[in-house]
Amino acid sequence: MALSLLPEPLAKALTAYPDAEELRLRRGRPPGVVIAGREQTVNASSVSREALLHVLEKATGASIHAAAPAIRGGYISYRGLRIGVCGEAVYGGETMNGLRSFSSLAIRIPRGCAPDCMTLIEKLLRPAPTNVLIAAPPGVGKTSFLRELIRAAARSMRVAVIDERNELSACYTGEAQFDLGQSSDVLVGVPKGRAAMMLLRGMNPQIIAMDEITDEEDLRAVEQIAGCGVLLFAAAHGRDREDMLRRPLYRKLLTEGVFRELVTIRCLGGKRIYDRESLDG
Amino acid sequence: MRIAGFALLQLAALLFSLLHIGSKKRGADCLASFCAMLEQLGGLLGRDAAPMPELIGELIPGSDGAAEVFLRALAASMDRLGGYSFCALWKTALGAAPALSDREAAQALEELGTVLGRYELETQLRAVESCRAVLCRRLDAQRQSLPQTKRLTLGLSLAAAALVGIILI
Repeated sequence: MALSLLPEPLAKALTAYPDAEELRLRRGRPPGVVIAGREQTVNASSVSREALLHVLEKATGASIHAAAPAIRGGYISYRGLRIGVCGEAVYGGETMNGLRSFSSLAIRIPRGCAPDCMTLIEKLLRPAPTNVLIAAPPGVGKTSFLRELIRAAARSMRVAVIDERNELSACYTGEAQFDLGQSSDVLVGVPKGRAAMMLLRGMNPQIIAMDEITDEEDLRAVEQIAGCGVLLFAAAHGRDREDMLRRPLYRKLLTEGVFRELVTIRCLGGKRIYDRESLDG
Repeated sequence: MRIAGFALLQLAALLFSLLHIGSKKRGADCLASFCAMLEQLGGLLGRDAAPMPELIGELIPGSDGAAEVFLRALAASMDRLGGYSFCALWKTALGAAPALSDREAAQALEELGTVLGRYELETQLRAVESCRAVLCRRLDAQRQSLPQTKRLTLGLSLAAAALVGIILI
């Protein structure tokens, strides 16, 4: 999928890296691939401005202007791929309208979860699921884990998914590109607070799953959901419990006692390690 | 017999000049339809910033003539977006529409396809406006010169036919 976005010569050069987790395209420099967390330079000609525009045109359906809100957020989504964008900011008065003169793209390729991840998911859901918070640094696999958790839970329960950034489902023309299970309903692009109200009122969920909690508003959405007696799966940036407790937003999240289980993910020698910690008491 | 031959020559000259004037008029109508399309495109793009395939669909009902043919061809090719660049599809759709006789206007319209959907909104809006300005300027020039062209074509062809008639008959 990621290679289909690239101009042909570039795609050809990158076919030799099937294990790539990320493709890094920087204008005027050879492309790079990230494998097991480490970046390698690819032996290919430098990435041109045209090549970057080619990727963006394909990813946005020749509508960069329509993707401006996503670009302002730092990345665009294309059928399950996250494309991080760098360039020069364009301002309209005080407001940032978007980016131009694109200089770098980082195409993140989603990976499936390892077998030990599936074992942990089964343990989290048996005998009955509880509120789960997934924490990991960027690029380690929070979203993939959350996706697997949703899919497993949606085998027997109604899961409503708040997919603000369209990363969990990668919905395209109303159809999720990632399988989120039989009984899942996905709301894309709506801020978490508003989405929580919409789903609680309209979809009668047993579980609500949301992507990364990043600000106070997201925190309020978490409280709202917990207050309605609906189970919650969520993700957050952080290495471990101590790391999260150092930050006011996550400290509040952990001390409020909404979540009963904390799953942390770390990368060790190219392998992902999943740790489970009870937050009770 | 001579009078009939002379009359036939004059009739052929009249027909030729009418056809020529008609083609000039059609060229101006073609330009006018693209001018109207660009005005609508600029408005919609600035207001909704909707994705390009959606914008093209919205433009069709309000367009006519050559612009409508072009937009329909472009809309039909949108499912090939990804395999081909938007710029290539734009160019192909322009080829499907009645050709613009004015070279400057045709070039401006073709160049617009290299900007649309590729750059941030402000750049696209500027490109649309600059293309519209070129087309409107050429349209004004064509409309202003049309009565003169009419008179000149008619006068010259009738005079030429009369001359040929006098020499031959």
